[in-house]
Amino acid sequence: MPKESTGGTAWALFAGFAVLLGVASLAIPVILANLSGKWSGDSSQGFFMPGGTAEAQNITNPYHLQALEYGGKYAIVREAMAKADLDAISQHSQFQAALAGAERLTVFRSEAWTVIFAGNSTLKEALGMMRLKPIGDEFAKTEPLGFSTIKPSDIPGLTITKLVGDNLPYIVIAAFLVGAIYMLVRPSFPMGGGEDGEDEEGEGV
Amino acid sequence: MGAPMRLTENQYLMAALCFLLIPIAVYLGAFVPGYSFAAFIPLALSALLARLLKAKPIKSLCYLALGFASYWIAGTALYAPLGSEWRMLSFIPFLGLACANAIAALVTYNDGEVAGTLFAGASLVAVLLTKGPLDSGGIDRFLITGLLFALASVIFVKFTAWARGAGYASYNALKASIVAGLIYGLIYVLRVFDISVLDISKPGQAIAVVSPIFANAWWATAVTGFFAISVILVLYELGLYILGLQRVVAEDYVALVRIGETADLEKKDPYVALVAKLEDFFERFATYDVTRAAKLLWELEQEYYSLASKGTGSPVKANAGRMLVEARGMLLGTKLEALPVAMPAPKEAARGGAGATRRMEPIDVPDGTVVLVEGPIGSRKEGFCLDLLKKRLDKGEKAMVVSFEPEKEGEYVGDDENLRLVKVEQNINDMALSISRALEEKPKIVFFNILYWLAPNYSVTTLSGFLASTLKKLKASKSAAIFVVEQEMLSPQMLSTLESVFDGVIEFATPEDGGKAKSKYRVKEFKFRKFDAEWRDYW
Repeated sequence: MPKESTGGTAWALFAGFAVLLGVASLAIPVILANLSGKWSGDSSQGFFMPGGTAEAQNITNPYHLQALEYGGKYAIVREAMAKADLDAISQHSQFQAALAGAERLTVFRSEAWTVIFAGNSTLKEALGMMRLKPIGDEFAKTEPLGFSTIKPSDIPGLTITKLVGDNLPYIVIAAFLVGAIYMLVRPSFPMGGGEDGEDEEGEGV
Repeated sequence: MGAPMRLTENQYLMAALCFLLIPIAVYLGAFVPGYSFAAFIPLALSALLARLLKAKPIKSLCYLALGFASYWIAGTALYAPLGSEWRMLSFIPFLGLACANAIAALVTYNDGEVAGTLFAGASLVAVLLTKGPLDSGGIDRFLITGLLFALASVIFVKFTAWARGAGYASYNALKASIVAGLIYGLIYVLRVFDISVLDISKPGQAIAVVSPIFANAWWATAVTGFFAISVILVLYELGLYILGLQRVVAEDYVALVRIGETADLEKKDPYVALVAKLEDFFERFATYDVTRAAKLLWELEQEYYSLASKGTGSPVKANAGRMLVEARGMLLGTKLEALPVAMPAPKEAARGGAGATRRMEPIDVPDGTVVLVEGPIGSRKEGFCLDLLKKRLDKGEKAMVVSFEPEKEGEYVGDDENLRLVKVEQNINDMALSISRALEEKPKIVFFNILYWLAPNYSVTTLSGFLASTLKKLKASKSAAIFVVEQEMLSPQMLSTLESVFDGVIEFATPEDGGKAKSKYRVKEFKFRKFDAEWRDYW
């Protein structure tokens, strides 16, 4: 094998410069290519959401509503309605009745606007309710005009929180029983156990 | 190469570099919104250099800080204020999250699972501070979704750990992305639909409402995760190649060695030496006689089992196991045609000698009975078992061989349309599944040549459980079954425990008779049946 020749410092610098130049010549076209411009697009669009941003908005807000904080409650209104519009109709006695209503969901409907007040709710709950079909349907109705209420049994109906809250003792007992049974039968699991010294063949090994 | 090596050994310099790259990343992530993704580059560089840090506290702190910074940038991009949830479905924040997960995978790939877990664990603090996509409906839900988020990050680490090449790692990353995507999907559903409000009285409608969010989060995670991790690991491998390095993964460390230099590893890894011996065994196999080959293989197997029983881990352990299976298959093919090997025999057989044996009707295994055939290497147990299969095949009955290399047994038995060869992998769970599927064909007799690998690799409890479950399946299909095992490979206690699981035990021995080894067998035990325990000749 022939001995490799070793150049002087000048040659090393020259070679280093050549490498840098070569790499830079590759980087420059990439930098000048305006990739961000070329790659720009609707970042919501994809196989599962061909409609892009508009579809994302439809999925997360199917009835195009919004929740505005008003008078200590959240007012669920159309996206087109501004707070000033609420102020404008706030003098209506039926509006005041709806706002003061003790029920969780009260409705005020005029010929121009529909407002649903969500009392005793957080913003997240109000936003969650505005995605429910019965709430969306309220905005498609034209009557009754004035003040009305929505039964709590209609909206939201049965929820996970309610299901868990109403059956908590049973859930705790069931969880305990499942845990106890698992502990009892675990030693007889044919492939379970995971005892020391066992060789579990890992992925990609 | 000398100067750079000296630089990387300078711990002060490395620590300074690792930690100084973090504020650069934080600055880019926090104050240069248009280029916040560029922050992942210094973070990835720092993650690469951190493996050079020798002080564990400093290294751990570095990984925690890097993990925090990475997931902080990702969490900030994922955050969408209440009322603007549609922003959460944008692809870009998922790409940011994928970059953070890709660095977690890189850390794992570069410095092992512990380092990766530290990095990914920091995501919990980062996401709790940035809120990310967490459920803001209540403090308990907030914390639970935070934990789920961190769990998803750890999944990437767990799936990437121990992958030996970028190809495997990318494939595992795809699997990790799919699994983590399910978790992210759940987090997104909880974030967008409040569980106090979502009506589940009509489950179909509820699923229809939440599924678009879930599917999008899942899909976006799968695509971005796979893409980002594949790219970063391929670049890493390319970098190693340029530096003339090779990555070797062991159970508790990842080593980078010069390509072709494995001497140091051999010192650390006894399996490497075993693999070398096995390679030598294959090379010289044709020159060995059967006795010599059987003895050598027995020694190699003992070495393997001794290492396995000590819990010694190694990246080439699985290789060694597969090579042993192959070697055994080669030997089996030869042994079946050759004379038995002289091995120490049980006292009774030796004392009784040839005079104690008689020519008798050969043993058969009744339907629904499961028998263990045990004996020393070279006693022609396998030939005996396969002869039993042949008899059934001659009667036109279905027979099955379950083995790691069933084609070897198949060669001995010969072509028969009623013979089914079932190849199983070296994994007890996969094996159980393959056996269940195979037994659906209701064979009349099944020969299992799997215990020689299972016995040393699993505890008695696990093995007994596996056998009990397999025996149950065999009895349900009313099949006769024969398992074969080498006595020398098991401790007397383990052998005794195994024997107790079976309906019957047939024992083989090869006592010397006039300077020539003879293969003999007897029924050692048969539950609830009368049996003749006399030794018989097997030719």
